[in-house]
This record gives sequence, C-alpha cells and structure tokens, in this order.
Amino acid sequence: MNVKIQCFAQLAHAAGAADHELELSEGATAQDALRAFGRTTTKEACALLFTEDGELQPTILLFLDEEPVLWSEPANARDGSNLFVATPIAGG
Amino acid sequence: MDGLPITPQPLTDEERATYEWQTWVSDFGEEGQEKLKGASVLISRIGGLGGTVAYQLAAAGVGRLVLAHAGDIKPSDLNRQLLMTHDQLGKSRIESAQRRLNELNPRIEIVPVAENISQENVASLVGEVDVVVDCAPLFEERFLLNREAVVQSKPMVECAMYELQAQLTTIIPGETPCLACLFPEAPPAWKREFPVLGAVSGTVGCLGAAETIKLIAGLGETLAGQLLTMDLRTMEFARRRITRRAGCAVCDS
Repeated sequence: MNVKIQCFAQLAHAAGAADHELELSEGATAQDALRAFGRTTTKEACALLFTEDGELQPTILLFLDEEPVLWSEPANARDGSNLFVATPIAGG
Repeated sequence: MDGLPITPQPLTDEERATYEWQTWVSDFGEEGQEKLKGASVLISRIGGLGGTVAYQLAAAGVGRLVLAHAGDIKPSDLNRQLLMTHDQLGKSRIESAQRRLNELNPRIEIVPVAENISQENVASLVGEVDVVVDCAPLFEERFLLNREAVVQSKPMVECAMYELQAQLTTIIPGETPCLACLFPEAPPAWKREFPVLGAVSGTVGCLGAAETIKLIAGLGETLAGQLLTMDLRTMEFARRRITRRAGCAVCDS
C-alpha cells in the first residue's frame, strides 16, 4: 500500500523535501512507516526521528490521516494514508 | 466563548478615538476594549516572533505588557526583530523594545525585564499576568514557562516557527494538552539559531496576538486543543486536533 509522509518544518529541511511516498506492506503502522522512511532519508532527518538506540524519538509529533497518534502506540495505516510528522520548533 | 475573568477598565475619550475601528468589530465592541485595557500579558522573548506579538498587543491597547528578554541587539537580529533598530546595535534589546512600544502606544504600561525566563523568575512573572505568550527559542525556557502556566492555571499561547513554516496552539491548563503533552522531552537536535524569514515570524506573531486578544475578550474560537500549522512556502494552512497525554509529567501528575 502507498503511504504519504509529510514532513514539517525542521524535519522537511533535514530531509531535503516535505513530501515523500512509501510502498508498505498491508497492516503497516504509522510507526512502521517512519522506520521505513528512516531507511531512505538523510542522516540529519534520522537524527531528529530516532534515538541513538534506533527507537522513535518521544519528541516527534504524528498525525495519521489528520488524527493525533502517540509515537508509543501503534496506529494502522491504510492505502492512501497521510502521515504528518513534526519535530519540536520554537521562537526566536 | 467567555473571555478571561478580567476587570474591565473604563476608556477615556482619547482611547475611544484611538481604538474606534476595532470597537466596531462584531462581538468585541467597547466592552472588549475595556477588557484589553484591564488585561496583562507576559511575552517570553521579544525577538522576531514575540516582538510582533508585543507590537500588535500594544497597538490594540492591552493595558500592561510584561516583556522578558535578556541581551543586546546584534546585526543578525535585524532581519526579523522589528522592535530593534540599527542605531541601537550593541545596546539593550529590552530598552529598544520599550522605547518602540511607548512610541507606538504611550497609553499602556510596559514592564521591561532584562532577563530570559528562568527557574528564579518564572513564578513571579507568570503570577503577575492574565495570559502568557511563549515565543522563546530555547526549550528549557519553554518548558519552564509551560510548567508554571499549568501550576498557576494561566492560559498560554504557544508560538513556534522554522524556515517558512510555523505553528500555533493555545494551552488552557486542565482542558487542553500542555507543551509537555506534545513534547515530553527536550528535543535532541534543536539549536537556538535556525533559518527563518522575518515575514514568517511576523505572520505567526500576528496570529499569536490575535489569539491572545480573542482569549482576553472572549471573541470567536481559539486554538484550544488544536494545532495550527502553516507553510508559507506553499501557503497551506491546516488545523489538527491534539490530545492530552495520559501520565503527562506536567499536567497529569
């Protein structure tokens, strides 16, 4: 199935683009999608998404088809799903 | 929507004339203006983002603005920090901001604090205002402000930006997610200096100011429980529901 990854702000900058598409197996979760994205994206983006142990960063903000998803609670994606991913940003 | 429990302050004839156009706004009127006059707002850092919030709130007639920002003006501030000017390079940011805001609106009280938010000052600064606006670049300051706003049950307008993107939400303690619900830990790779256009900080600063005015006056719908994201590269704006995190160390402990 096809899942669209939409990176926001700092993550889009690190990944080189905001929009990405992935082909995933049926039953894949939002978290699976992020791990698959990690295998194709830049080192800089991976540093924002994963801990040194390869786990998902607790600081990432996920929305699967516009609904909030906790990084720690698997949420099933479907064909055509959109996964919006943001990392913390601030003022200045 | 009900506004905050603020004692309205009567307007003078001169103030009625000054704020005339906005008192024509539906559901705002002179009653809303009197609430703005009676309100106090803390803005954490008055750089590109917070400076725009302060400028708009000063122009709108918020009665008392408490501004917290340390340091002196650097050349790299000037692409976005509209309260800072070339002739003040090397001089105090907070003094420049106070001067500019007083020139814009001498009717309001500006409380300059030449410090950033810290463990030592956060309780007293939050304690003296009705609303907090978070515009700081460092997460240590943002998390301190969030915790204190939750402890003191003060609403907080949460503004952030990066490059051509920005986000905004309004935190109502006990009702909406707090900053620690969204980001339970400090981010691993955040740097105080980052790419951004002044037009982006200005955009999100104006939106943060509008959100603050709405909160005070009970005008329209706020972003409580919603995250507004905007991408000025594509001009896409989106509003998504956000939820409280069970076991949040700040608001669910």
